Amino acid sequence: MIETVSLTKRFDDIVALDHVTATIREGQVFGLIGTNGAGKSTFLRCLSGIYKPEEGEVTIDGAPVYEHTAVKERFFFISDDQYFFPSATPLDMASSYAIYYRHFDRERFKRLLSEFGLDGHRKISTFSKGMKKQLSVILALSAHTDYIFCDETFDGLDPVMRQAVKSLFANDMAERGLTPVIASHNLRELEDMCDHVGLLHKGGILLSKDIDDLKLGVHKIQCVFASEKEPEQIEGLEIIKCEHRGRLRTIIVRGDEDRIRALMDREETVFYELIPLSLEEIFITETEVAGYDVKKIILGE
Amino acid sequence: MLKMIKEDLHYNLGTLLLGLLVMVFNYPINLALQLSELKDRMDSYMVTTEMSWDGPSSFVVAEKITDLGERMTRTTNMVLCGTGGLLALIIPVAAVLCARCMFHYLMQKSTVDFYMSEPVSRQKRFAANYISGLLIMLISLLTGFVLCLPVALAYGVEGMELGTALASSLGFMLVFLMLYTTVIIAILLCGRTFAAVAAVIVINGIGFCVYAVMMVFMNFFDTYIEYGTPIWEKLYYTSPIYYIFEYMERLTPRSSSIAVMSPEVLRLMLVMAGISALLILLAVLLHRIRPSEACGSTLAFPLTRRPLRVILSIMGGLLLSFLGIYQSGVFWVFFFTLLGVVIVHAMAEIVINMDVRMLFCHRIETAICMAAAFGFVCIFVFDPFGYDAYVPEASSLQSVAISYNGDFEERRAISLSDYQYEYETEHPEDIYTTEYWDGQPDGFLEMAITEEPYVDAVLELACCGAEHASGVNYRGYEDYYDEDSYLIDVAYRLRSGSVRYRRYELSRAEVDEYMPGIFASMEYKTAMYPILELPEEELGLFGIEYADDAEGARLEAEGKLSGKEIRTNPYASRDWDDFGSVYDINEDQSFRRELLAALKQDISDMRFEDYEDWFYTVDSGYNEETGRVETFSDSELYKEGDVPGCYLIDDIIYYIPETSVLMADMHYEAGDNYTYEYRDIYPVFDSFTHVREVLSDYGYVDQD
Repeated sequence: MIETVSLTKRFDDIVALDHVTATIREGQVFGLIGTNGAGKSTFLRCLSGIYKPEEGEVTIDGAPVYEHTAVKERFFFISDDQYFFPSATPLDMASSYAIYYRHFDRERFKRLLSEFGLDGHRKISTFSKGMKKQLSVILALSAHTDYIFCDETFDGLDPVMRQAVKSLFANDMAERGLTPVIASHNLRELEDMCDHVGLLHKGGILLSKDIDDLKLGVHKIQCVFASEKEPEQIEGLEIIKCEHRGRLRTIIVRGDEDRIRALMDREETVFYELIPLSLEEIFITETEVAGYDVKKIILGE
Repeated sequence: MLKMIKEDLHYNLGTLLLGLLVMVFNYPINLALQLSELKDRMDSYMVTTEMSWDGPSSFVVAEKITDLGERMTRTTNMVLCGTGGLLALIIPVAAVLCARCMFHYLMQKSTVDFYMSEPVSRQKRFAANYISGLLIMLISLLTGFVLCLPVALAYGVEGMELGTALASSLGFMLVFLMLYTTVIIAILLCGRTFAAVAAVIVINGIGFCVYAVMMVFMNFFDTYIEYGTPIWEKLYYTSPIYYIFEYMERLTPRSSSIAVMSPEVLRLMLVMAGISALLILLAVLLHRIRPSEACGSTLAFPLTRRPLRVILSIMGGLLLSFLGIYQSGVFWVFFFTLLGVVIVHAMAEIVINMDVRMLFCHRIETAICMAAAFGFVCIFVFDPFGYDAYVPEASSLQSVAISYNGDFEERRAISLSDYQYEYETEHPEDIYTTEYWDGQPDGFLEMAITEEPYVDAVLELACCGAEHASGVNYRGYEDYYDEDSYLIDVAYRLRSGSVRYRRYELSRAEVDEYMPGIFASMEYKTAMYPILELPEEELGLFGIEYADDAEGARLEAEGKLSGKEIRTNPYASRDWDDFGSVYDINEDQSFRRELLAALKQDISDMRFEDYEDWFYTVDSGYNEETGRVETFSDSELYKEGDVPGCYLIDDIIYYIPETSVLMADMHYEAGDNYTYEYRDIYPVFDSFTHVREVLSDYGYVDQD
């Protein structure tokens, strides 16, 4: 388990991380969402022991990360600005990583290269941006670490590749308890990959929840009441947000699905339906409650 | 660790190959080119030998072949020792290249992410990178070195000094180590390549700059004079690049191109090893604490920004003030100082922040720097601490020394305590002779006047000089000294052990007032004329200079001269050789003894007036018609017109006293390829009656 307690990182006058306290449990895909400059990369670099925090600490299973090689051997960091040796081939990079990661699996590396259709003997400098990202993921998976920290790794990957990576992650999570931590500024790209999402904004975590909890706990009701009744008048319905367009009401409510259905069944409605919320809508709703305009935060609208 | 080093070398193979290429050119190819030329010459002699191998010519040819063989050995040793190539030039370039290859990753975010996220401690990463860079140089150097051996053997070279060569190469590696570590430190202190380059220049140049500033500003003091090594000259040693020159100089003393592993060199190697160790420790520490986010910033450590701005801007202001000094005006000195501070501070702000808008973002700091630079200049221009007025209390003095011949450049030829230093370097084929005057006033430095009346006389003279000096502030660069003034250097040796030197400027009347009293001191005379204390048994070769010019030879051939005429050469041209040759009187023991005793007696009896008669009455000019420097004087002595003894050599006027006999105390020191000859020159003055009598007794005729 990765824990950050009051993690603070400053760059001169800029506070990149402001007392961030978070927990990343093992065996789940942790998504870190936030706009550019929110502190995602800084957070990941602190997790990776690249940056030394000014305050607070980062621990993996209780052991501090910074300058602890044994702990650092448990994760693999894929930077948003990947580096490969000049003139190196994928096989050269594998040899290099094998020096540092004792459990680096060369056979798996070659197999994955083949599956992804990458030539192990071709110079990496001739690879496209997407191919380099694929190579980074393959190297990370072959390193057999407990954690993989991906900084904007999936942005720009085509859906097929994303699906392939997702299945590989799922496979490793099931087989050996891999915990990927994925940072992205695009919530829509993370939705189908993450189990847990943390929203980072201006150096602080606004929200950190399991996606299932988020999805299960919040619902959208679209309905047309037979009478002039207002949704707020429905007793027992925990309304988060309510909009109406003509007689059509869109109500976002918190609570158990069965209970909400039971409450709505009692009302006189022309029709009603419960629609699952997208992760984006949940975030918008939850953070608006917290007083933030998430459309601006996440979508930049 | 080994795997990491192997990996580093693998990905820096290009640099290694470049290093090998350069070293192969510097060592075996360089050696082969030189040896082949010598071998060709030797072969040509061999042909000559076969054609005319009889009589004296065969001996000469054989000797030349032997000499060429020795030259081949010497050339080989020179190349192996690193003094016969471009190693001194290669090392700084190699240091920069190796450091850049191994530590450039600290400058880029992608590489910092890559290396710092790996499960390797920073120390281990540093060690691997550091050793890899070192190995690139070491492998290149050793390869070049080793490849020299078959080349030398192929040319049949014998007598290679491999031990010396290896030790010498070790010294060069230590120089490399210092420079390499310095560049690494510069990289660690900065986050951008251009900043690291600037840091290397600053680290290597700051000592020189402080030295230059001190040298220039100390001259604001009218009484400042430099003897020995001023403390700021030692600032050279803060510059790592200086050690290349220092090492080369010590390794090849006295213009010899062959390395000599003297204790002096070994000491320097130890010093360099110690400094390297300290630099490595500093680099390790910096690497450990260097923030990874520093890449992209001009300075890696925010704490260094302010001190750097302050130091650079003050230094920049003081250096720019030199423009004001050459403008010869106090106003301009201050103007350029303050302007320099503002410009350099603003530039530092822009570079550090990488933002032109930050030009004057620390105005108070700029003002403080300006005030500091202003204050520094004030100290030298207005002398508030009384440097020029300083004259110690007699009670605080252990001894004093005084030098009347302050202007050594013009008068050294008649400065009795100066000594001529001459050496010859004999190569098998050519004889190179270099002759020059050593300007060190040894007599002054060794003089210790302790007797109270003479000490008081010196202090009175000093008070007079200090009074002149303290009344003058900055007089400008061009009219620093009055033409009619006389410069007198005084050394105060204090009871505390320190020595302070001052140069005073006195008028003719003041010199005539104070100097006769001081000149009467035997402590003064003994220091100025070391022959006074020279025991007869320690007297080396003793000679009398005589004229051997064409005119003299002609007169002698015509029977008009007896061959024992003594004079300085009246027809001297611009060549030192024309000053005459030396009669060897060493066989005649009684003559030697009497002459020495007479000289001692005459010098002891000599008065200041005797000394002065011919000294300051001469004015001279170059006569185009006669092609000689001629003297014009008010003195009766010179009214006859053509006065010998005044020579213009390389536009410097040298005076030799008229009616003088030049005697030399010579002894020789021979080395492998050189001979030294030291000469103390004692002219004979008009007042030297005893000497003249002895010379006359032994048949020598004073032509002048």
